[in-house]
Amino acid sequence: MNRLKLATAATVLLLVAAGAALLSRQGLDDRDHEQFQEALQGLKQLDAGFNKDLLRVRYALLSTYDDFLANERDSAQALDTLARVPDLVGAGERQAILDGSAETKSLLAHRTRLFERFKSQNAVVTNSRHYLPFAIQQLLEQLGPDTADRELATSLHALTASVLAVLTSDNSDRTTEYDEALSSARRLQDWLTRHPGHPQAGAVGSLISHAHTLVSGTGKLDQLTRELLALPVATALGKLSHTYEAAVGGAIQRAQDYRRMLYLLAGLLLLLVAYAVNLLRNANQSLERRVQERTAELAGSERRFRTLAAAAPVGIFLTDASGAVVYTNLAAQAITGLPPERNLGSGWISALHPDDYDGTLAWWRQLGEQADDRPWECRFRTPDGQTRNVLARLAAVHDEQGATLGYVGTLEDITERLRITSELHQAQKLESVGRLAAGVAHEINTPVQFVSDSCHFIRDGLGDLRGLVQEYRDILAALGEGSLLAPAALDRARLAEQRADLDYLLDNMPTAVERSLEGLQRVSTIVRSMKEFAHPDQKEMAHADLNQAILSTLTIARNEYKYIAELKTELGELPPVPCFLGDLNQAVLNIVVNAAHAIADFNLASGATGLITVRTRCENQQAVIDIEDSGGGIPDAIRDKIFDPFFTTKAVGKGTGQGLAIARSVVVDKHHGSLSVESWPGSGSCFTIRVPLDGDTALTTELA
Amino acid sequence: MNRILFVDDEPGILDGLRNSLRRQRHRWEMVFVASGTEALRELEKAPCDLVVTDMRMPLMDGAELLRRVKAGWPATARIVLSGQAEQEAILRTLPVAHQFLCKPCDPEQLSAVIDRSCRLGALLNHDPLRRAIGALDSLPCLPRHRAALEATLARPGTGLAEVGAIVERDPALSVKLLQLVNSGYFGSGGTQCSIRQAVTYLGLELLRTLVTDTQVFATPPTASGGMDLEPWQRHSLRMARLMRRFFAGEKLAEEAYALGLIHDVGEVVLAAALAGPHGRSGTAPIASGATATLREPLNADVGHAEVGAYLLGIWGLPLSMVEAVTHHHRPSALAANADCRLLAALHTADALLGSCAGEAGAEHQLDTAFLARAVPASLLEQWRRIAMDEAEEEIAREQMP
Repeated sequence: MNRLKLATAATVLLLVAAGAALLSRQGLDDRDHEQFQEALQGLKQLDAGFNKDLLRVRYALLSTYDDFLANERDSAQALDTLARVPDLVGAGERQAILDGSAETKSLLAHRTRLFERFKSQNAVVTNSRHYLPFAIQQLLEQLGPDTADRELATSLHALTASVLAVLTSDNSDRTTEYDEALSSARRLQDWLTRHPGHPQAGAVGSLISHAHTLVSGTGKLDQLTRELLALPVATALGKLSHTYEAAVGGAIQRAQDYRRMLYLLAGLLLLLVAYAVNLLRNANQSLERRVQERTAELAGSERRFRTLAAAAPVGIFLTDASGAVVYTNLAAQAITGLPPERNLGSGWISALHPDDYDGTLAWWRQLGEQADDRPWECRFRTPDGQTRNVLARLAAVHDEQGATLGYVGTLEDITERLRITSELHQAQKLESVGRLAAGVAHEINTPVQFVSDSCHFIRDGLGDLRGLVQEYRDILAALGEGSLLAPAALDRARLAEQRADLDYLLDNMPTAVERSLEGLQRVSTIVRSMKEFAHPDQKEMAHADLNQAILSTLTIARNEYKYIAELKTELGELPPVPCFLGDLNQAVLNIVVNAAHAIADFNLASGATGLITVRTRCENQQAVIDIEDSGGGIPDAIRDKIFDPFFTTKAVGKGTGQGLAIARSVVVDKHHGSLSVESWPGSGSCFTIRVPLDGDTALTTELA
Repeated sequence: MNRILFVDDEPGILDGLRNSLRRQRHRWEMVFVASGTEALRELEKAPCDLVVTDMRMPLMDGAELLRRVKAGWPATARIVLSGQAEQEAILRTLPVAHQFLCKPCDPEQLSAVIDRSCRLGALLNHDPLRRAIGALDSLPCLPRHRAALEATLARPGTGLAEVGAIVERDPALSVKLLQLVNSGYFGSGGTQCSIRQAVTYLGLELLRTLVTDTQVFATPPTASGGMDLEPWQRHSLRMARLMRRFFAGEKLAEEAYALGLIHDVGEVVLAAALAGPHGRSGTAPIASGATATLREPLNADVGHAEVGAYLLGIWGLPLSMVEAVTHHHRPSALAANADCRLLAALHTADALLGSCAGEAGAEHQLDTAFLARAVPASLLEQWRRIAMDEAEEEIAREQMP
């Protein structure tokens, strides 16, 4: 991922660089460049044209200056163009080009000035040139045949010839011709000097000045022409052109450099992009792979979940955020007894047991509001009429932001558990009866022992008495026969009585009978108590004398506490209490036995006798039973555990830990009463059973 | 006249006993008290031959009372008469009581037990010895037997037969189990003579508790003083096997075996009694000079037979066994009665084994007059043959690798 970030960063950098390069690159604007080049080229041609026309004008081949005007206009235009250096030229070169252009411009300006002088000179020379031959002709025509005139004519012809030579000479350096013409003129001058007053002197004088003008004018004109032609316009233009070409070349070079750089950048970019693409592809592939993996995982997880949910023995369902069921597993379907699709949404509600309908829905709604995970016990009735007791739990599923996505719920079929619990109660009852049996056996064995002893005694005593009576009869018979005298009879009777231990028998036989009866009474009380305690299983609550029941229970439990604690009963007035008497006896018994054990443990070292107090009273429409012991109390740490099933502080094998759990179950679940405990560590505990006297509600519930 | 103390917190019981045992008033001086404290006070006044006590009583229970009686008056026979039905109860009394009776108990049965105990006093008319034996709560057993028993009991799926096979090799274990099984608790009425039966009656669970939770089988061999237990043990076992063979196929075979095994228990009892109390038993110390007094009367009148019989007697083993052990050296002393075959066999086997083992003059101890009266000569000849066979087989067994 880091490499991809790096590649992306590099790409972005390159793109920025390329963008900068593109922006900084002056575009080779073809139009500007062409105009510039055209102007340059035009100026060169114009310059050449100017020179050509100048020569043509100089040599009178051209008599108008129109071409020059056009040339000048075009040149000015071209110069304007040259002032606009195309953008492609670099800054340094631009200045050089501008300098060149300015130089050209000043040269052209200078040429214009020179040309103006040329034009005026040319006008003078042309005038002389046009006039001179004509004036010579006129003069010649007026000349006579005198010598002066002939001399003049000859000089005039010489002048004409030399002027013509000047005018027509091809030589660039026409000094010779000038000198010839000037000497011809001087000869005329000479002539004039010799022939002052000649009618034609004036005309000759004018002719001489024209000749001088022509010669000197032509020289000047030639001079100007040479200057004009020597003006380095073409050079300047060439230089400018060169500079420009160089500049353009540089620009092209730069442009090419840019292009190369751009190519390079583009290449790099391409590489980077390719790399990035590769990275991306790899990333994408790994992502895809991971997605595939995750998808597979998810699918696996989903499958596992489905299998788990399907295989779970607990009913599982899922709802969306609104609480509509979206999934149920097999076990949940089995509980509601509805086909899978009919459980969805709120379809499951139809499977609720009618009596649990309202309560369950209230619980259901309240969950959404409070996110309470309190389990709820309710019943479902399957379409085939089975009732299932169910413990429902619901937990909200939150997303990362804590919003509720839906709920996961479990339905635990506790029908069997409830049945087992009830069986367990029965088993515990049997167990405690079994344990009691040993104690009860002892309680019964004792009276049986002395009843048996007494009976033996009575039997033996009766035997002795019979012997004695027989002796009496014998004595009486002997007395009657007269074979025995009274004193002897008296001695014999006394001896017989002594032998039979008559006094002892008479003293003790009635007591022995009493003892026997008492013993039998005790046995029958115990047996009756056993029966009362065990109480044949009731299906419904029945009103019972709780005090009597407690006495029975205490009787059969007597062996459990007899040597451990003194028992005090303070039984108050109680109306008949609606209850399941057998179960309630069981609860009382369990608590009493526990009390006895608590005292035994507490007094183990001292061997002292403790006290168990059982009180009953009527209070707030409840029958209240207090069972208080003087044991060591319940440590705070375990006080809330003592009613838990299987919780025991007794040694392994000494208790199942069911006693108080069952007492609680009996009092709270079966009788809708309460079982509470107060404890004073070091001085004892008091368990209080409260059973509502108004058992009607309980009754109806149990009947339902 | 024997002085007998009855202790029970229930007045009805005392009245009942007083009435039902009234006929014995000429033979026994009976004292009835309602608590352990009173009982001890009575004992202070005059020692008793026998204490019969209830188990569960307030303040001082029967076990505690007997512990004190054992410490203070070891010669007094200690009998429990309890209505308790729990196994635990009997285990608690095991180290302190000689015999256990269960309520309700027939006056005849009670009388018989008391009578027997009283007569035992006549058997061993030697107070220091009686005290020493009375203080014994167990006999030293061989550690390997105890270890084997423990291991076997600890193994899941152990059968009673396996346990029985171990117990019946050791006289000390066997005697203790016979004592237990003949107590009132198991309702055998003091007639159980078979060791295997005893094991079956007691059951694995109780045996496990006995071995792990009580000390009754933990008596070390050192408790027998300097006596080497091995030869005694070997002799006992040989006797037992021989006796079983004598009565092979008869109902008496198991009783014969047990009798053979325990007939010489007196030797160990004597050794243990001479060695004095062994640490943990916590019984009354026998004065240092006592050993001498103990040895002194060991003459022709009082031998290991009487000592062993006395112990078996106060421990409540069946009368037939006690008698056989008592008289196995001098059978003629026993009043002639219907079936003396066991005694005759024991006497014969003891003599024969002695002779087989090359003990000089053993044969001469045979009471030929008695034997002639008790058993036919052919039977005697048969026994002799069996003894020879047994001896040969034993030699063969020993020679095997």
